[in-house]
Amino acid sequence: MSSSNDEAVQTEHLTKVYRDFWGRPKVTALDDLNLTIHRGEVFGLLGPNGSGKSTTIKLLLGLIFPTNGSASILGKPAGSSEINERIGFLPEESYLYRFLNGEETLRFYGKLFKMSRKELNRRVPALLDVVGLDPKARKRKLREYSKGMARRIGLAQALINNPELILLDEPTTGLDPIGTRQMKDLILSLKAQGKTVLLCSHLLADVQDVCDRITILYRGKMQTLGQVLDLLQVKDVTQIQTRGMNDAQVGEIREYLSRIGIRDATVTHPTTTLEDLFMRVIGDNEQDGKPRQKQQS
Amino acid sequence: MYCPTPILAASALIDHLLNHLGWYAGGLIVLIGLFGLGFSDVRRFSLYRTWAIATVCVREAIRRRVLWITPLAIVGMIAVSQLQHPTDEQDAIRQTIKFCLFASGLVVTVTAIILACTNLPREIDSRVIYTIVTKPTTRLEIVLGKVIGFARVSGLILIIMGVSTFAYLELRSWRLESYLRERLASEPENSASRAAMSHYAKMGLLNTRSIAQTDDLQIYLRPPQPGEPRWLAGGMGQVYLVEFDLTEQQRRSLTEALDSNRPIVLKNTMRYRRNEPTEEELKELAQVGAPMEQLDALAQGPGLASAPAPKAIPQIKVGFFDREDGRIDTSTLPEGGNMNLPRAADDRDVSTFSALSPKTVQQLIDSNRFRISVSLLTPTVEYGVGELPTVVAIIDAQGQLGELIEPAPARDGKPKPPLARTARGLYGMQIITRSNGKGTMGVYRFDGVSVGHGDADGNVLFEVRLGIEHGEDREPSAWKAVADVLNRKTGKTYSREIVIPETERVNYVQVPREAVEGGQFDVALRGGITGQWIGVKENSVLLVTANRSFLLNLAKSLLVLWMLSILVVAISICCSTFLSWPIAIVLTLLVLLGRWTVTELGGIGSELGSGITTGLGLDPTTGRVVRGSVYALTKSLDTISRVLPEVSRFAVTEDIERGVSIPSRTLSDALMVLLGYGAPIVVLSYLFLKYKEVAP
Repeated sequence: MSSSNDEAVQTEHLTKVYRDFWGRPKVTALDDLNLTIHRGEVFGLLGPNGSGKSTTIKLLLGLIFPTNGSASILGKPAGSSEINERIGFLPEESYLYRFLNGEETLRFYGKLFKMSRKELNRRVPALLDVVGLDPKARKRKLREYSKGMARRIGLAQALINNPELILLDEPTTGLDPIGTRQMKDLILSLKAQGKTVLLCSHLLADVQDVCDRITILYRGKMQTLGQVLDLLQVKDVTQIQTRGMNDAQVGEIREYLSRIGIRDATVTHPTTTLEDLFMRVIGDNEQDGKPRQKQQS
Repeated sequence: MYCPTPILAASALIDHLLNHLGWYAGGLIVLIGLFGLGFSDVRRFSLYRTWAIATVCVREAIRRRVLWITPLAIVGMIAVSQLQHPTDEQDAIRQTIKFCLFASGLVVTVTAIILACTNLPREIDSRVIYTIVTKPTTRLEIVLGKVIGFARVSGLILIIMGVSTFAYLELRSWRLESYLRERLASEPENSASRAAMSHYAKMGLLNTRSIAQTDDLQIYLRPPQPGEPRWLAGGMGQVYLVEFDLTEQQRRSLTEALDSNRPIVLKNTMRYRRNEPTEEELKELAQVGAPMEQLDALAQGPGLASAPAPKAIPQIKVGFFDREDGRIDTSTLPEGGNMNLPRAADDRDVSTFSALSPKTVQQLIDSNRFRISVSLLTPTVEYGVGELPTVVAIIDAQGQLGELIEPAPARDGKPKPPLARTARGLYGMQIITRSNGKGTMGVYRFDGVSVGHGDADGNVLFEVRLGIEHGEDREPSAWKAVADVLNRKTGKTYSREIVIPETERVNYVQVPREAVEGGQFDVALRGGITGQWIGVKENSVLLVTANRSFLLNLAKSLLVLWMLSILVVAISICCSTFLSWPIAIVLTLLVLLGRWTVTELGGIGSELGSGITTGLGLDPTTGRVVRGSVYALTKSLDTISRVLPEVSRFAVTEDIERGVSIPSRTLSDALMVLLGYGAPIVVLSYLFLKYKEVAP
């Protein structure tokens, strides 16, 4: 497989067929996927349930082996323990040892990267701050964690090695809107640091907010691939947004549009997203109490 | 190795390969696994990561409260030890040691199997494995980390069990020793158990010692003397056995002799002494139908008042047994193998010749390895048996004795001497003491024994265990034996009387160190009372060569149990890499117990074959086929079992229970099995996991 330094992930004819006990083909989970993800971009892998998103991630991580084709990560064959030094992975649920507490969990995963005790003493608290895990929760066993807390510690373990490529499988699942926003902010901040993020989700709004490029999978096949803006742009519709217009001015614009022959124009006030509204309300309330800790990475 | 033909050389090579199949298979797996398929992972191996994985396993076991099983086991072992019925204080302590070690072994093995069999499948089911394998860990580190982790858990369990065991034993022995001292103060001087009690009080109950023992036990009529034949008793169930293992050359000679119709004979050579029978012996001779010498009427004279009693004609009976211990048909031998020895002066060698039928010879050739037993039938006769009493001879063309087929060679290259045996009773081989003072004795030959320094009084200690075979209704103090210790270097004999309170009870016999000085000595055990039958076994006589620390012995036994638990962990993890945990547990148990089961089956295999043959009254040919089939089946199972671990090498309970210091050989044997089997099984686990999709 040819790969250049610009490519973070590349797959060629990547195919996975699940077979039954007797080796007969049961289902084709991924069919001939050819994909290139560039370094420094946030890439979204979209599709409904069973479309092959998780299978793609598992193949890239070496959790399963391809029936056909190949994949490479950062120029090396996917799944090798050597390349795992440079990647981070957040699975769709937090698959962690539930008998360990938050700090022990991060220390354990840090040791798998051969981090020294000194390095871990510095890195672990910083990372727990980054993911916004309450200091009181750090000494509690993971089995006592809420879904959001488990998600946060899961993200922290994915970032323990300061990876170049981060694979996030449904990263906002189980998070409240604030957590969701923080997660998206974090993804953007990772991008700002020059890291590559592969985001796998079926929550389209999340993907739209953070991804540079996306692909949509359906029944194991790639349906479309491109820049988010390009794909979402409606070429034959024009929108002008401004502030401070009164009703008389709006009327004049309608009249003008009618004069130049545009009949079905809509001139109205735009609505915000529910997430923005929620963030504004919670943000106002929190300003009365303790200010929220801003995220840093 | 003598290999006359390439076929024999090839056969020897195949035998060698089959005998060492496990080692070769293990070596190949390690070589291919680590230096072929997994070389990249070996290069990346990090002990730091492996230890981190191991630490998580330990933390999991602790947080899941696995160690709580140890206090339960301790309570159980204390409860069970209260229910025992010991014969004396020493027995009470030894039974307690047995319970404690059994409980420790059971707890650690069961825990290791359950933890190790369920861990990997559970991590795959819960998908925790996703976050491990997507880190820079290799599958080799994962497998080794888990083995080390559960080995640490097993070690922790054994330390807790060991400390508890030692504390409990110390407490129990302290109480029993106090009780023993009280009892000793009130015990009569002539009590049968006083000697043992004094010994316990002197040595303490938690004792350990090094011992020397021999498996060279022969039953003779009198102690062997240099330059003399071995004397065996007639009419007391005595028999001597000679083992043959035909070489290719001998097989060819016998086959050629058969083809050219040359006679093949069995030649028995021995000497005898005939004693004048007492009235009682005359009755016995009549009872067994022994042929008697006809006295010349004239020589006796008509009016002689005290005519000498007629003497018996010495008789022997020959039997052949094939390699599966089945009796070879000897119906064609004259009198079915019974033969009278020719008349001769006392102490002169005489030989008998019996022609073997072609059928018998063919069976011997087919069997290749066989034994000839010669029963010494006639009461009142003493049989003197030399080093080479029985050979098979081929008569040459001139009608003379030609090639001799001698018994199989011993280590020194000379033909193996005959084994002098007697009838087996309930306990062991029976030693009989007749009313005329004559009887058999068990002679234990010790060679090259390092006898130690002895105690402060210059004595060494023998431990003697005997069985009461006949006449249990006597008073305990009425059962006696005599031990004669003959130093072969000095020629001096030291005799000690032994009181046998009951079967298997240990008797402590002290002799001066000079009796065993030089390490070349015989111990002859004979009955002390007329008419009693005593049973002896190969391990009935032990020489205590040194006293050792009990704590060290306990530590050694726990170390061996720990090695066993590591092997169990390795096998469990291997099974769990490709099976669900319940099936993995079953397979682990099969692997662990497979070899032992096959060994047991092999042990009864030959008996089974002979049993079916005699039980169903099969004719010799059918019987041979049945025995051959059973033999082939047990042989194939035996071959399969060679690739299974030999867990019997981890058996330490018996030694520590007997108070015997566990030899370093036991530790090295256990280590060899652990490495020889554990290393390949860990590599196999790694390979299974390497090529396994952990996200199905």
